[in-house]
Amino acid sequence: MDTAQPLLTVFILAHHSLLSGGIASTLSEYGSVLNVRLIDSEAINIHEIVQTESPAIIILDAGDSDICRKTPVTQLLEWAPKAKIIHLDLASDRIRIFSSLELQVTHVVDLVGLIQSLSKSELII
Amino acid sequence: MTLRFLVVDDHALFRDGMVSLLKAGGMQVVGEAKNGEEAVSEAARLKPDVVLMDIDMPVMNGIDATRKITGMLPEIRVVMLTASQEDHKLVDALRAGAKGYLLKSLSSDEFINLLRGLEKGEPPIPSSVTARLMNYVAQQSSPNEVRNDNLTEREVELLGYLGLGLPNKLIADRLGVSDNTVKYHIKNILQKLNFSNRAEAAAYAVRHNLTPKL
Repeated sequence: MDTAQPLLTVFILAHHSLLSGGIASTLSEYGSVLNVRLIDSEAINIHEIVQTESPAIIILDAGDSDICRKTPVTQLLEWAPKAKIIHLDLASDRIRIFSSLELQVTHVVDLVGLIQSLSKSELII
Repeated sequence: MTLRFLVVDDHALFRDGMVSLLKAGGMQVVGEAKNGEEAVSEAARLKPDVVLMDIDMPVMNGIDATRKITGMLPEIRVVMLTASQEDHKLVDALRAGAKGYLLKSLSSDEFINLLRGLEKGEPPIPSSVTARLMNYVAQQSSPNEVRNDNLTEREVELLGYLGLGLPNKLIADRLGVSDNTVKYHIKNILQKLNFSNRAEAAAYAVRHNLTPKL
């Protein structure tokens, strides 16, 4: 039986960033579990690439205001709703993770239930 | 011979990335340090061929560390690796003995190619930094010849590229910024110098020797 797990596709969105190049190089050392691609954030077909390949993870340098402005989290999650977006913040040695969740809500009571679940952190996003 | 590197930066994530890039580029990393003080002691202990040195770091900054290392071990080549675009830091670093000045806005390929030049004795300094340096020196030696007082350093640099007749895309590549940022700077240059088009700005750049040598 083949137990091999599919590779997780990781996009690193950057334009002329040594930090991103370094992260891509480091993550590429884990080629047995990660399929790492350094994507030029200035590419005119960036939305097509993200939509078509639907990466599991998208990494951006939070210190690069240009890229954060041009490809905001909301836009990326619209293109790849299942992706987790990771903002690297070197200045504080922290990362921030963003994701989206879409649910069907037809009655207010569903919304109330959802709010209660969220407040108890029962929902894993 | 494979160059042996010491990587100095206060951010571990960035250091890891540089170590990985250098190794992938066929270079050897013999050590790491997280501030200038550690860099001085590690350089003395490991005697690397090259120290890749950040500038803004706690405990001791990269320029002071460079001065100490090059004073103590002049055979070691210190190359600054920084996000700083400030001319005075560039000049201070070179005066402290740095043999190169690389920006963190370089692409990985540019970074490795510039470092490979060290093996042939070529100083790793991107053309954009050379242009800044030339402009800085020119302004220091003849501050009244050019009426660009209101321009920022980046605008003067971009003006030089306009003088070479480069299109926005190439200028953006050289400066490591987007096309829109280039357009924004050009608009500001035209306003500040009271020009109506880029041709006038280009002619001005040539007339005042602002064009960089490529």
